[in-house]
Amino acid sequence: MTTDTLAAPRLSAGDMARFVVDGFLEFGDLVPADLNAQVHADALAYPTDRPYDPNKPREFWDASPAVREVFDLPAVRGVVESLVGPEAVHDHSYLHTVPPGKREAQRWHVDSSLAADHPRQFDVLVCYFPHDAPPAMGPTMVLPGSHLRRVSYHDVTRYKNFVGQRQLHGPGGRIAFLHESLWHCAQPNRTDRWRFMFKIRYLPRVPQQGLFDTDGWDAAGIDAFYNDARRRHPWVGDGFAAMGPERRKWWRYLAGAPA
Amino acid sequence: MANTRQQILILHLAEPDLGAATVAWALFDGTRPAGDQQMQAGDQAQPPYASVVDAMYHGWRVLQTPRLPTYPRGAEYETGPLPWEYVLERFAAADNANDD
Repeated sequence: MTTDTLAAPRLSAGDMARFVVDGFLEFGDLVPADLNAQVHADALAYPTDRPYDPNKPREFWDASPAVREVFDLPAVRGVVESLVGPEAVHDHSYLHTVPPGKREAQRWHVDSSLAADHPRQFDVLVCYFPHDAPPAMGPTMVLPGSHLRRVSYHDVTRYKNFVGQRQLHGPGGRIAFLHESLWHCAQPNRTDRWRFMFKIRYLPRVPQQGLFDTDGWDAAGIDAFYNDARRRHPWVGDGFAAMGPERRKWWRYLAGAPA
Repeated sequence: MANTRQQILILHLAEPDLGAATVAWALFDGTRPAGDQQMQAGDQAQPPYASVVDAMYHGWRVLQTPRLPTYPRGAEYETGPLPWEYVLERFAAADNANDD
């Protein structure tokens, strides 16, 4: 990732508070339509039977100048840098696909084991859908707020449905930034078209403090947002009693405030 | 019982009270033909029963209830899987003849 070109705008305190509570942020307007179309064309031209090879951790990235351009957009870099700081490590990336007519959903899972300093120290998973991805096409489903639970990879596969689960569907160019511990699963594709999602994992090189625009981090509106957070995720039930204080501690840490 | 199979329903409630609201659920259905598709992750927006008590009204038997929590000092704010997990079963006619 380059950071010495155009200035990258930072997430606001309100945006960052939503990331803390929900575990992800999604945007529909960061990538120009012509660039989305070019990445989609590159995806369609890319072999569909190429499994992830850990010895080639950036194959589609290396194959598609357009996708590299997406992640060099100041608006995209600004979100990444607000979450994991400058010069974050592009650990690996992969073009995820769901074939037309695939009936099975992926099982719920997280992409991480037990981080020593969960949730403070986190990688970010950036999920980019270059084409229109209506619900029937199988865009990723996430469980908002689940990133605060301490679970490992496939501990959550026995769950099937939650009140409040949410699919990352929308017009082409949708891009979502996920905390590494967010529970998620790919969905069935009931259309006759391929579903593509390009995902990068970024690792921070710096402590994740004061990376966003912290102006107003302790404003009354932010405080009220946290007070109301328990109503955003009904699946948590009375678990808010444990998750609430953890969120507050993490928020102070992110803002660079004294503990 | 001939041609009956077990269904396992797992309900997660908002609180330990068996009448509390269902917040997550999973069904593993032995009455379906072998190889048939089971409940998939993310395939239902609304729970099949409002609570464990509601499921009992519909013939489900409670197999397992969760232990109530204790909180070791220093780990009060640890969270992991959903805590209020109830396992229920029901026997129903098999969808086809998978019998030996």
